[in-house]
Amino acid sequence: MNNNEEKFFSYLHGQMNYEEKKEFELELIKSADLNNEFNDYKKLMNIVSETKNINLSKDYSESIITEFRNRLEIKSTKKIIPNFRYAIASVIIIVVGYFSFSVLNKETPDEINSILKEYSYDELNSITKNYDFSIGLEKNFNDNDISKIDSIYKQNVSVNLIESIGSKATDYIFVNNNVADVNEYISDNDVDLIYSQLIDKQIL
Amino acid sequence: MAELNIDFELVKNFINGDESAFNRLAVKYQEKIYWHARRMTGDHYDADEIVQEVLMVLYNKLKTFEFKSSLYTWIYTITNTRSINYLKKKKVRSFLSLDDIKNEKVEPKNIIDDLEKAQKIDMIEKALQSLPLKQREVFIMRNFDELSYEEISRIKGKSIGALKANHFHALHKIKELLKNE
Repeated sequence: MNNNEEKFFSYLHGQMNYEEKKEFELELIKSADLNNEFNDYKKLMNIVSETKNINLSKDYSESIITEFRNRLEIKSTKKIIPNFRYAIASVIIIVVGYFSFSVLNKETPDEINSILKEYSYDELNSITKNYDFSIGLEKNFNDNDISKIDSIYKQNVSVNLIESIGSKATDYIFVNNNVADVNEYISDNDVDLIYSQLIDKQIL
Repeated sequence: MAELNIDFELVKNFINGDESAFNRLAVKYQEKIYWHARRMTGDHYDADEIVQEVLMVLYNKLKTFEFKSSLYTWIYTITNTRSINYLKKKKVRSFLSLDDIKNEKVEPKNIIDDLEKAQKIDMIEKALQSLPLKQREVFIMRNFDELSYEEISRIKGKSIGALKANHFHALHKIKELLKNE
C-alpha cells in the first residue's frame, strides 16, 4: 500500500520543517507519478476546503434553537402525562370490567343491581372470593376463543409480567385464577406496573 | 485557553440554572454538529434531526461533563456516535420499509445561501455517500475536521494502522469518483 497521504497532508498544512519541505519538493520534481498523485490530492483538498467552512443561513441557524426549545417543552409535558396514566388505566379497567361482566353473565345492569340487593356484604364477599373465573370463561367462550385469549396472553403479557413481578406471582394470578387474592401477593407498584404493561401492549 | 474558559463559564452558568447559557453554547456549536452529521448522512433532514438529538443529549448530560477533554471533543464524539446510530436505524427502517421511500424530501433552498458552494457540497456529499461508513467516517474526521490519526484513534478506540488503511481506501475511491465529475 503506497500511502503518500501523510506527506501530502503535512506539506499542505505547513507541518513540515524547512529541510523536510525541500526534500519533498525535490521528490516531486524527480517522480512524475508522485507529482500526478500530489496534484490529484491537491484538487480533492481544494474541494474539501471550499466546502468546509460554509455558514448556514441566518434563518435556519436561528430555527435550530427554537425547534430545540419546542421539543424540550413537549418532552416536559409528556413527563407530566404518565402520572395520569394509572388513573386513566384504572378507569378503563373499571369500564371494561363492567361491560365484560355484563356480557359474560348476559344480564342487564338493572338486573345485576337487583340481584346484588338480595345479598349481604359478607355473602357477596364470599361469592367473589370463591368465584372461579375460568368457569365463567368456559361457559361463554368456545375452545377456539379461549385458545385465542391464551395465545394473546402468552405473546403479550406473560413474559413481561414474569420479568417484572416474578413467575410465582404470575402463576398464582393466571394459573390458579384466584384473582381475589392478588393484592396479598403483589404491591401497589406491581399493580401499577401491570396496568402500564397492559396499556403499552395495547391490551387495554 | 480563552475558548476553554468561555465554555467552562457557560457550562457553569447553565448548571446553575441560566437557560440562556445553554442557548449560547448551542449557537456556538450547532453549525459544527450540523456539518459533521450532514457529511455523515448526506442529507439535510437527517442532519437536522441529529442536531436536535445532540442538543438534547447535551442539555441532559452537561451536568456530568468534567472538562477532562475539551467541550468540542466531547460534543464531536457525541455527534459522531449519534450519526452512526442514526444511519444504522435508518438502514433497518428502510429494510423493513418503515420509511416512506417514495416521498423523499427535497432540501429547502434557504439552508445554504451560496449556490455555487451548494453545488460543490452536493458533489462531495455524493462521493462521501459512496464510501463504506468506516471509510467515510475517517475521511471526514481527517480532512474536514483536520484531526490527527492519534485524535481519531482516541475518539474511535481503533488502532492508527487500521484508520490509515481505511483512509487510504477512502481517498483512492473519492479521487476516482471526482475524476469522472
